[in-house]
Amino acid sequence: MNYNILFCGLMCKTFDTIMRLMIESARESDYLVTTVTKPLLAPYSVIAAEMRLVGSSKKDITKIVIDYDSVYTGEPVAMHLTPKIMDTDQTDDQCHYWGVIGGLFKIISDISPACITSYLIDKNMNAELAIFKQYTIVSLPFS
Amino acid sequence: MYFMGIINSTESLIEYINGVNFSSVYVEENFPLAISGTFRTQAVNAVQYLLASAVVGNKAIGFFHQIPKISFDRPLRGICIFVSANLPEELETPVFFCRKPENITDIFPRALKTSADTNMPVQVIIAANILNNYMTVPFPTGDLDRVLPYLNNSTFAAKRNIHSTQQKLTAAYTALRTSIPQHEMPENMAFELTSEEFPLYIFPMKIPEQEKLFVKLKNIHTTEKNLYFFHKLIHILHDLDIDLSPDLQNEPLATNVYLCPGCPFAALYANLPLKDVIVFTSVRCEAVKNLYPVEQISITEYMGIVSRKLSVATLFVGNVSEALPVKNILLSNGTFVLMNDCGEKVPFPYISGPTKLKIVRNTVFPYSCKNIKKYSILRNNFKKCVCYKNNTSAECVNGSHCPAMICRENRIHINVKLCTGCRSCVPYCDKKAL
Ligand code: SF4
Ligand code: SF4
Repeated sequence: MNYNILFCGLMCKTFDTIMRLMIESARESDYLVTTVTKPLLAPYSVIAAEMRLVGSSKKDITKIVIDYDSVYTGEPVAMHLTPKIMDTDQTDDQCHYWGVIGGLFKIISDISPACITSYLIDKNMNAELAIFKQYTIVSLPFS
Repeated sequence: MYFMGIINSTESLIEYINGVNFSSVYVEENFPLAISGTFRTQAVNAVQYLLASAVVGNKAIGFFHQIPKISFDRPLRGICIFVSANLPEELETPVFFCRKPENITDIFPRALKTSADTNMPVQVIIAANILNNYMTVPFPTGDLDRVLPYLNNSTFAAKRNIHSTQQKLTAAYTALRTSIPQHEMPENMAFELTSEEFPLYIFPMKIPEQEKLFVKLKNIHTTEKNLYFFHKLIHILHDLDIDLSPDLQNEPLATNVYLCPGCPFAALYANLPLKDVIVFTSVRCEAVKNLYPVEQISITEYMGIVSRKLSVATLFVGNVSEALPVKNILLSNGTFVLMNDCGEKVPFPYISGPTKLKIVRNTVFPYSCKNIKKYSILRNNFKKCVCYKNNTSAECVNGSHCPAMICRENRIHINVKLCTGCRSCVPYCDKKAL
C-alpha cells in the first residue's frame, strides 16, 4: 500500500521525536519514505510535515491526517486521527501525541511499533508507553 | 542531533554555516532559522553591510524574508551569499535554487564558489520544504579556511569591470554545467520552488547554453508575487517567445494559525479598537500577516506616509531599536506602538503590561517577539467554561490564536508551561470563565 500522511501539531519537540521514529519504523518495514515540510509561520505555530510512504507499485494512495492538537482545517479526510476521535485528552506533557500515533499503527498494520516501544522503554517514558500501547489496539471508527 | 541516523535539515544547515566561518552573518528579524546574526539592522542596510564586508575579502551571508535590491559596483574579493525563501525581484546576480534538503549539499558550496569565481554576490532561494525536514546524509562540514580581510587606499576605488564580469559569469556557468547538468524545460511550466522542472541555477545574462534550456518553453504559470522575477528572466531570454500567466494561487493552509503565547499583536487586537485603523508593521511575522489586516513596511516608509496629516487613523507597530535612529523626528501625524526590544529610551509613555493598552496612542509596549515577558498565569473557572460542552466553538482560542489553551474534558485548560499571563484571551470570553 501507499500512504500520504500529514502530521500536524503544536509541540515541536515531541513532534520531531515521533517523526524520526516513524521514518525509521517505515524504513525498517521496507517503505520508501520521503518527507515534505510546510513553512513554520511563527515560532509557536503549527508544525506540519507530510510523509509519503511508497510500499507498492500500485497507483492508489491512502490519505491519513495525524492531528495531534486538533489543528487541521483542510479538506475532510476519512482517516483523520485527533485526540477526540481517539477518545483521549490533550495534555500539557504531550502524552496524547503517543496515543494518537498509536492509532496510526492500527491503520498501517505492516509497520512494526517495535521501534517506538523500544524507544519509550529505553527512555523510561512509562506513561507514554502505556497510552501508546493502549491506542495501538483500540478500534477506530474507520478501521 | 543524529538521533536514529535521521538528521534535521535546519540543524544541519546551521552546522554547515558555522563550519564555513562566515565573518559577517545577517539574519532578518523573525526569519525561521535559529542562528543569530552579527549585526542588527533593516534588510536594506544589511545588503550594504554584507557587500562591504565581502569587498575587503570576508565571507558574508544574509538571510532575508525578501532580498532587497542588490546594487554593487565594486568587485568582491571575498564571498557574499543572500538567502531567502522568496524569489528575488531583481535578477542582477546568479540565483541558485534549493528545492529539497539533499540539494543543500550541492547548492551551497557551489553558490559560494560561484561568488568567489565571479566576484559577485550570489542569491540562494530555498524552498520552505528544506527547513525542518529530515534527511539521512549530513552536509559537508564546509571549508574551514579563514580568509584575512584586506584593505588599502584603492580597494573601494576599484570599479567592477562589466566586460570581465561577463566572461567570468560565462566561465562559471560552463563549469557548473559539467558538475550539475541542467535539463531542458517542457513547453508549459507551473512554477513552484519545489518543481523539479525548473533549473537549479540561473545566471543574469545571455548565455547560449542557458538559453538552450528554455527553447521549448512557451508559458510559465506562476503567482502574482513571482511576476517581477519572471519578467526579469524573460528579459534575459529576450530572443525566445515566452508568455507569463499569473494564474496560480497560493496553496491554502491546511491548519489553524497560532501566534506565540503572549504575542504583542494578540494583545493589540484584544485591547485596542483597531477596526477603523490602518495598521502597518515592520514585524515580518507570517502568522500575524495571515491573521490580521496588517501591511508590512519599515518605520521610514511609515514616516513618509504620515508626513502630512491623513484623514484616516493609522498605527505603526515596530521595535524600539528601529525607532532609535529617528527618535528625534518621530512625526506627530503618526501613531506608534513600539515594542521594547532593547531597553533604550524613546520619548513615548511606557506601559507595564499588555492589558494596559486601552486607547490607540503612542506607547512603548513592555516587550517584543524576542523577549516576551511572563505575568501571573491565567486561571480558568471550570464551571463557567461551557463552549465545548455545548458544542460551540471556543471564542477565547479563536480570538487570541493562543496555543496555550487546550481542550481537556470538554473544557479549556491553560497549559501553564506556555501561558505568559498576557490575558489577551480574556476579552473574547463572554462567559467570564477566564
Ligand atoms: S510574538 Fe507574535 S509577531 Fe512575534 S513571532 Fe510570535 S506570533 Fe509573530
Ligand atoms: S492563555 Fe491567555 S493569558 Fe495565557 S498566554 Fe494565551 S492568551 Fe495569554
